[in-house]
Amino acid sequence: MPDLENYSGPFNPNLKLTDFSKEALLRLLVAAGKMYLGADGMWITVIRRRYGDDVALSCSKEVWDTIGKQELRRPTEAMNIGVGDIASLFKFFQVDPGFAVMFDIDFELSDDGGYGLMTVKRCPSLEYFERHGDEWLMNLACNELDGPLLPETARHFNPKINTRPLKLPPRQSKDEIACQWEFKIET
Amino acid sequence: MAELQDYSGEFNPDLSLPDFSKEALIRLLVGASKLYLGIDGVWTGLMRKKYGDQAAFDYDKEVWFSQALALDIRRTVEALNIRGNDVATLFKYFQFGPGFSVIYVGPPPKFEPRVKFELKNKDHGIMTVTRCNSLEYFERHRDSQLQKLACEEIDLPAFQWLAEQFNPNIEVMPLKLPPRESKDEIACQWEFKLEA
Repeated sequence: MPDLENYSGPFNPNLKLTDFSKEALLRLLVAAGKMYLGADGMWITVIRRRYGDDVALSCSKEVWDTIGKQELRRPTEAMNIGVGDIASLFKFFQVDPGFAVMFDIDFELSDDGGYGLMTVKRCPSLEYFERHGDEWLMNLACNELDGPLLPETARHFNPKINTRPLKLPPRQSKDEIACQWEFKIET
Repeated sequence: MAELQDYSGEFNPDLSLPDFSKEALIRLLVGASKLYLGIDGVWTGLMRKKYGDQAAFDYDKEVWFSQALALDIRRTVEALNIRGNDVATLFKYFQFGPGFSVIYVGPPPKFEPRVKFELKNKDHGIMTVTRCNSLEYFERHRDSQLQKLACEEIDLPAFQWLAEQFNPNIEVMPLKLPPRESKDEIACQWEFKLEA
């Protein structure tokens, strides 16, 4: 049977994921990534409404302490990505369902592998915050959560990786990049 | 470039997801789907610790029924171009929903489905969850409260709600629900019928 491009045809009780084309699987992967981050956003909304911003912020940090580790483990296991350097960190970012799978990101790595630059050119989360004028949520995601989470993720790959944000939201115009991060191996 | 079976090789800044094999992409999809349900579990666990079971379970239901289920349908059917309003269409959605059947597939390379579907006709079918990671987690942790929340307080109304989004006349009936006597038993079984 040729790969199915979608499931617009008749129901088949014996159909398996392996029967779909790569393109269809990728659409489903992106959908799963969006549902993953979306579920987190819905929880924040519910807790914020009931307990206010401060409680929502502290709960969100606790949640990401745990889920951040799972987000690291599942893609690296699925794609057999090891640790040790900035290249490995970038490989993880490239396939992370909660990150580059949904975002438009550029990666640059120096020839000796000791310096890396990551530029998030397009970020649907930031676009959501901007569309809803929700600066609190933007600060939560970009500063309070990503601020410590990215350096911690980098240290998982090599404890000597030093992480520094070069640009963070807010931005003046939608033509600007969303954010930019520098990773350096300290000697 | 030959398809990559994983990403154990060198970093390539220009790599894109279609460069990977189908098997690698499915492994990543299963991982993403587990993260999706996993983050809900982490939030629920934290809320139980802070505010007790009842409050946590109320918030979880609010999350799912206010928006999450609707988005789950929309994103899945859009990704696979699933359209229709009968039980067969509902089963197509259940078969490949990242929040449901995708999580329960067997190991690579076959990724055998563990949710089985029997369609008696396009308006009547039986769905059997032969193996459920969530139930196994509840059993392992002897968390009957969480099992009751997931299987009875969320799944039961959720399946009815989901079915009604495809057709308001679809009736859902649980034929078997946890707890179970032995791990050889199925996890649960449901009947879906489109009433005339």
